[in-house]
Amino acid sequence: MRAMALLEVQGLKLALRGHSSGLRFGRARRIEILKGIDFTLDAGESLGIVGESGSGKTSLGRTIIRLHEPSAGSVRFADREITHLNASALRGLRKDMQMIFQDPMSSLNPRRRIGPILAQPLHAFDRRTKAETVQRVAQLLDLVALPRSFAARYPHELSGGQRQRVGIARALALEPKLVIADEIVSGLDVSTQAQILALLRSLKERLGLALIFISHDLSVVRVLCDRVLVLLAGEVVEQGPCEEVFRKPRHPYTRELLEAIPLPDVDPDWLDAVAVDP
Amino acid sequence: MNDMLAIEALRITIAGRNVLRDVSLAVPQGHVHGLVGESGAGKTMVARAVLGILPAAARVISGHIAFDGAEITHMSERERRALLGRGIALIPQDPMTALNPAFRIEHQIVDVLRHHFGLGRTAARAQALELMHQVHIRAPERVLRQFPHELSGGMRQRVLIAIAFACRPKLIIADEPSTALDVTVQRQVLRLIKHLQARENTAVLFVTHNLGVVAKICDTMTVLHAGRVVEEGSVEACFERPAHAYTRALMAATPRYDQPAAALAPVPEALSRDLADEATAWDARHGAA
Repeated sequence: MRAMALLEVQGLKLALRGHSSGLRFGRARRIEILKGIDFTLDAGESLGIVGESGSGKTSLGRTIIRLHEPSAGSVRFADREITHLNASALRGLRKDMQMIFQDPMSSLNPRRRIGPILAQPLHAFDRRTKAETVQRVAQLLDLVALPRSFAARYPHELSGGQRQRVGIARALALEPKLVIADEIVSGLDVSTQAQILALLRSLKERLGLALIFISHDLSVVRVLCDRVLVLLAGEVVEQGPCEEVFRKPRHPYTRELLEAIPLPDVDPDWLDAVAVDP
Repeated sequence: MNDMLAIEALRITIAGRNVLRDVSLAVPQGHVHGLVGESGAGKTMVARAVLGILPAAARVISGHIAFDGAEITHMSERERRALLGRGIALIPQDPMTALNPAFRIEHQIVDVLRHHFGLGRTAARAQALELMHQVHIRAPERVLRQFPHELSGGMRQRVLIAIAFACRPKLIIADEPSTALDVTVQRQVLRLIKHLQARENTAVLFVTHNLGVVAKICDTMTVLHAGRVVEEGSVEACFERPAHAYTRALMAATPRYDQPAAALAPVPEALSRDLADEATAWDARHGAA
């Protein structure tokens, strides 16, 4: 194992109480969502977590940041065991570890202007004067290439791409070491998506951020990440540098996933290669 | 060749703003035609105009829509009902909202068959089972008894494909039919649509934002931007020798897992400005409605 990784995840398991179907008595069924995940992430490195629906990729992100309580295994962050931190210790940790969500429309308060939305994490963690806060909000808007005047706008007045920039700015407000981004470019048009990806790449480099980028889209991960981890039913089937995994996938499931992606090249045989009868 | 769908210089406004600016396209019998564009380009508006389900505020200012040689631009409610299903069918984007959550699958398919063919209950049931086989659903008897929420996304989409093909329509409008699915399931659903389309020689207008999907399933395509056609032709021509800068820019902005990050280029701002200017100039020439 490399020395001094920023994040070390070992044997991480997550079991959640299942939805009971029909009337059941006694103890609820527990469903294993994550079945022992191992990986490490260095400072400034970016890792893509990919998989299809139900693979556990979102749960993995949420467990690392302790929105879910793991049932086994450990998470070490900046050389500190964080698996079982209590609520107040977690609060301090959340300054260094931030999350960006898929749908900025539902993660931004529709009744607050962008300025107060960006100032909220500052108020929660630092004592600042009004002038300092206004200054920092302006810096954050600069950082994500939005006009400073946007501080006075409401989320619904912004386009999807602009809202996602606000989501990114809010996550960066406290200068975290690690950002976990869950499907943050999924709902966007390709031209907007390309802009957000370019922004994330430059932020990652300028700020030395470590990034966990959760996505169902392997092509997007290729653009943004150094390494990739492929999840299937709560287990890691393959991980390695993007370059290698995408060029020479070792696991049959990774190969199947890659072959199923319709690349924008005309290829009449692509559809015929699968059976009509699944 | 016989055009199943022919749209000619269609102009539609909403609240006085142009949303389609003289859009023309044709889908010959047995062809799959891709309608591509980003959100707001007007692709859904084209689909809705063909189906006769435009938003209440939309006005068709000029232009024509012809189905199988007959003008359908301004249909009455009665004419539209006679046409939909048997003449033109829809494969919608979101199978969860397209199916009624309160009824079993069998009920929803049998309804369609009874309505369009006047079949008796038993005959309709037998036909529904046959349709389930056609779309390669395993354990069709069980699926027919299930409710939509009990099925996976891919299964629900198969059911809707079965309903769309049930009346053997001449034209199918497929509105982002695979967008919400995982890639492996998407590939199977696309394969199924292509298979049934080829067998029935159906014309398909395939609406999508995904260039990759167009490249794999379509014969011809139209690229829309701000309600204007910027590129049209065979998929080979459009992908291998795109004529318009916007088509090239869209392709360059599409990430690919087989190419390094450096290959990705956002749409140049100058191009976006030029396109916006062209749309404004179009409006100035044609006046607001």
